[in-house]
Amino acid sequence: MKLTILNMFLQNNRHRLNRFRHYSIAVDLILLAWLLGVLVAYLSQFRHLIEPMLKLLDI
Amino acid sequence: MVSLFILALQFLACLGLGAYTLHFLQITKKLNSLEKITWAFALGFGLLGWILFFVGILNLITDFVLLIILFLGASGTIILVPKNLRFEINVGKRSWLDFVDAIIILLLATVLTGDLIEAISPPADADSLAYHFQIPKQFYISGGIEFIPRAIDGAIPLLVHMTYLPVYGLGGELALTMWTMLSGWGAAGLIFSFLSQWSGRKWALLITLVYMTTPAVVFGGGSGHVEVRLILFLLLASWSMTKLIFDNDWRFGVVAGLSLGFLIGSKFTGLVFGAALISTLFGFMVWRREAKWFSISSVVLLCVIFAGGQWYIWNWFHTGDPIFPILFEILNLSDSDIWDTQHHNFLKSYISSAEQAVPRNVFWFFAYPFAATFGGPRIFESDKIGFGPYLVLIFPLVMIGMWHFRDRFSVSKLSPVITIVIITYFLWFFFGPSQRVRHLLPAYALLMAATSLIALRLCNENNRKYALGICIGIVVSLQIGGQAIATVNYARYVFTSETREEFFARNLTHYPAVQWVNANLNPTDKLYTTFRQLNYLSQIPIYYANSASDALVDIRPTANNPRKFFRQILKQEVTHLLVGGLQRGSSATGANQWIPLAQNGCLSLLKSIKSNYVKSRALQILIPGSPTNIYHITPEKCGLHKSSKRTTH
Repeated sequence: MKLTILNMFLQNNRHRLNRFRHYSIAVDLILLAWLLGVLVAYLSQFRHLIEPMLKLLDI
Repeated sequence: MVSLFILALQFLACLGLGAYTLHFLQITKKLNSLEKITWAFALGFGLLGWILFFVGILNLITDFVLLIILFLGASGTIILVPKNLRFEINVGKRSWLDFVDAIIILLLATVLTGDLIEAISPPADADSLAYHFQIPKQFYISGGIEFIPRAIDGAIPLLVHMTYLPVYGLGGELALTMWTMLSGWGAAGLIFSFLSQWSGRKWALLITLVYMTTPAVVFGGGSGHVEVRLILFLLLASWSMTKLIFDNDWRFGVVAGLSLGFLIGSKFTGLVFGAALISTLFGFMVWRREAKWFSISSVVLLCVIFAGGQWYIWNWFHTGDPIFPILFEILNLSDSDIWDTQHHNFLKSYISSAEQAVPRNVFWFFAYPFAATFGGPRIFESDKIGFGPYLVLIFPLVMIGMWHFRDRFSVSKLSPVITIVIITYFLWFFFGPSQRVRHLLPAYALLMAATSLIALRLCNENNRKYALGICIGIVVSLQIGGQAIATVNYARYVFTSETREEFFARNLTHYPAVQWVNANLNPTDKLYTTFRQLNYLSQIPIYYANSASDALVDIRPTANNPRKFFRQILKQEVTHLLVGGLQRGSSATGANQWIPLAQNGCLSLLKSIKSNYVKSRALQILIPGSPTNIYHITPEKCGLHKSSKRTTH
């Protein structure tokens, strides 16, 4: 993504942004992928605690 | 009831002392109602700890004096009452609570309830029982401040701990644990009022919720750990310093200096934050070509020394080292009973091996925050006492935002805050003693507040607030889940008929031993122990020995001189020993030097008690442990002692 397009996106220039709507969707998808990736990586460190947690909660 | 009264009184005393200061400086008019309260509490909290130092060294700690201080302080709250106090009920006029508000309030209530359940329960955190609560208890019983000749957790700045003293002395343990909860909420309130300057109430509350549910905050807020309370001082110092830089009003320099002094007077790592704040102040004054730089910096520095210097002078007076024992080599101090070269070298090697897991280089400087979020070495304690995933989640938004708003750096009031965090992290990473994540908690609070505002502004300009909202929603849900699991342990005490003894038995390793000690030994006895979590609970005087931080009784792992060990414990007037059980193949060095003493008749076994080893309090993982032995010292029957005396003659 060129910087000018990024700036347009950031400045919310709707008229010009319409021409780059697919970039906007791409940004959303990238953010979503980042969100999922971070969450999976973060939660994976607790995998060894799942069993004791279930035991604690009598499940 | 008394506990709650004392709790309320101390809360009002903090508010009042802070209000007096703000009124004296005539800056109440420059603050809105919320800021007045949060600033007053932060300042008053520090002032209370500051005043009690002088009361303590004069040996004036009595119930009467403590009550007078609290009542005098509380009288200042009158300043905070608005002149035209009006009560308006808007219910019915318009919808004042929408769906999102209701969700936020529900989440907040859940978090506060979790905190309350923990506060009602007895304290169970090992560090709190070892010294955070033990030291104020000791000072209260002795009626004054005593120098504790132990590195790391004894001869340290204790300003925050001094605020635990009145609540413990006058209101008991319940008031003490409730006070840690309330002071933790004070920090959250200050963050909320900081955020409210730029964001709406809703977003400010959401971001504050992220902070309140952060694992390190849940862990530290309800215990005696000082980091959560340091946020009060660091945020107020940074905030008022920003006002000083942009408004050029020396009175904010006084507030910044006092807060920074309180920060330094609360923990040695406060010096790192202090260096970051002072260098940021100088940097911005040079950048903005401030003509009055000398007078401004003089005011700030004088206030820092005034508010935070006392504990360093106290340490210097007793040890010759104001930052005991960090400057031992630099000041070329000679060996003494309190500290010697052998212990200094051992402490250095212990810290470098046990507290530092990754090398201090440029790669790890940038990699550490990510490694510490996703696990990393055990010493980071990043899972249960970490910062959660929030900062990494909003990382792309913050980076794009910082690039987008780069032209505003010179005029943004967030710039000094972010600069302080960056310098703090740099100093801490390359020069700090420990790589535990939680030591950075005050800087984290600043960073998460500032970066959230950047991300919010970016999202706001691009109609993408939902992106930040989703991040916050997921993080808060996850973290509340974590808090709930941690709270189950305390809820079991609060909502069942479990007794205090039963609670401790399943939360503290070796607790049955201290139960026996309290029931069978006299207040004239003195107990030697290396089990730090029992310090606070022992009702008879104790001598707590530590292999790395205490030189009065040498139990370094290589120490192998039972005669010297025996002499040292006798010099400390120890009458009984509380030690682990004998195990096959265990060496007789270091903390096990009592074994040859027991074999030579110097100790007689009074009781051997089995107890569980508590691997996890929150998850209630208990493992059958080795027995704990309680010995009585019998110098008259001691073969080693007699032969040692003969050798001396």
